Amino acid sequence: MMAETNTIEVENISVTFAGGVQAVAGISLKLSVGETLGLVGESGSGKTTLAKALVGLNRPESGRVVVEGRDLTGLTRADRLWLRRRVQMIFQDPLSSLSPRFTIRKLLAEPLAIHGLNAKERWPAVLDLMARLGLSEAQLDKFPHQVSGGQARRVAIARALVIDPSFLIADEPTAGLDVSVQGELLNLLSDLQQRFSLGILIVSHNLNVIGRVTDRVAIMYLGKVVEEGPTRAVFRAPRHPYTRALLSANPVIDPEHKRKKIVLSGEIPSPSKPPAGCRFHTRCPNVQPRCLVEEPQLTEAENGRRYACHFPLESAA
Amino acid sequence: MDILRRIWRSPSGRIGLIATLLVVIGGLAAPLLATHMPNQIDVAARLSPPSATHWLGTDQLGRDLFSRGLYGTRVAVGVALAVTAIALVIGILLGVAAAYAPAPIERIILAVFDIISAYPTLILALALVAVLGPGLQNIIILVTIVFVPRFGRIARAQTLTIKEQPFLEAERALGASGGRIMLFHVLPNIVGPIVVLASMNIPVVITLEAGLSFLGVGIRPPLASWGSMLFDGFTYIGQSVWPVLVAGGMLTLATLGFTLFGEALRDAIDPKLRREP
Repeated sequence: MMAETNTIEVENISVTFAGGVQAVAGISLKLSVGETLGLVGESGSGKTTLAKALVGLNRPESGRVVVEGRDLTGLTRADRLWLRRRVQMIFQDPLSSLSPRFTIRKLLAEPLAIHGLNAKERWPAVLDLMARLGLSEAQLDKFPHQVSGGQARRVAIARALVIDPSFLIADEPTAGLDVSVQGELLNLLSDLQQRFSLGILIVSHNLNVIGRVTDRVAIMYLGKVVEEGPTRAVFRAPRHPYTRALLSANPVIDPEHKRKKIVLSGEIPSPSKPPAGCRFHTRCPNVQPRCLVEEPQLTEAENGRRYACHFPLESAA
Repeated sequence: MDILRRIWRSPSGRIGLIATLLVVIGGLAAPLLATHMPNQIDVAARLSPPSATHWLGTDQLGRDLFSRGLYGTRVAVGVALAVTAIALVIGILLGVAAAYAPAPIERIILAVFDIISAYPTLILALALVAVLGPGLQNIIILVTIVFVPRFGRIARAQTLTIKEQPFLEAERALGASGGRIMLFHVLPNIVGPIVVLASMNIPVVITLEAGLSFLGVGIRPPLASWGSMLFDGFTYIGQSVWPVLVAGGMLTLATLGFTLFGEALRDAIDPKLRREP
């Protein structure tokens, strides 16, 4: 594959935890600068694990992660620092991801110190970033537990962005926030993306969030991507039955809106013992004998879409 | 400052603080406050009751009890602080190491802790004296050994509770080195209970040192120690009760003061009370 300098690419990576649970089973994805990619899936589908592999917090057991043309396998210490300068991550729970005995001021200054940047020189930019995020200077001397959940989230974002990364991985950036605050935060992310031409990966199980801000979306099921493509196209006409089931189960605030719900039976199977054949066959409404034995591959389709299904849904919805 | 104010607010904390200050100042300023040299013998005035020249009386060699008691403070508090500080540092190092080390090393560290704590404190101290011999330096070493597991266990338990916290992973994602994470993000979040334990530990060390000196295996004469003063006084208790009263009184003041202070400190830095807007 051609090495591109403004992308993160994962090539066929797998991550297995001690105990043999394969959380990510051979995924290839690409995120370019200036683009927002959504990663959707149920709990246990491996989306957070994949996100952590992108920032080097999980070591893939096979496959490659290539950031701006550099392969992350066998990273040295200096490489790792470089990687962190390029790719930053914000975590699910904003409050517990901020060191409790650091004030906001120290929390924001620390990334600069870690990367050997001149704090004094950069401080105006930090304050500018804070203002952009709607944080006031009055908050600088507070501790994380003294600010609201939304503010803690903004601090986490500011902390990730003060070192000017090219990519931001956001794990459930709106979890635990009020709907109004969620909206604000999403606008903010779009705003920041344009301003800093970031490549953003948003991990979420909230389809409304994904539908609103992402350009492309990848749907994960049991450690695999089952469908990927431009968000609007995928949401309008899903080709994979799992995607359609997810979309039909998504609550929509519109009393006039009527739609046939496709309820999936049963729980997501354990990733330590994934079903043979198509991983989705145990819950698929359209299951056929072939699905039990042969695993469908992710295949290219029209308009940059990909899906892994032997019997894809009709494209005309 | 805020913590001191909170200690002052409770009556027992106030008593503890005053007693602790008295003991510490008495020990530090002993050369200024003492009316006699601590080892100055005045056989003519042996075992005398309190008087204008000897404020608290004299012992069997005519040494001034007030002055000896003050110098005894230096030994008692000095040993207690030295032991606690060293045990705290070693305990934190071993405890944090145990929490992060692979299982076999963790098991070895914990086994050492268990072996040390399996013995009653005084018995183990006596056994170690038998090996090392008495004397100030050896007392500090062996009492430290006795107390390391207490700090080590708490440090390990505290580390285990914060080890999996997301903020440590967030620091790694940011690029922080292991040393930075240890120093700025692990340590500050585990020391609270350890500092409280340290303050509660000081009176325990004071009594242990006094106990060893009382048994004659601690501080070697003529260095003044409350324990050896108690023992000497005990021998001559038929002739004068003053040596026992003075040494026992000072020992009581110090242990009571440090205990009350430690308890008040624990209440004052309880994290649940610290959460103010």
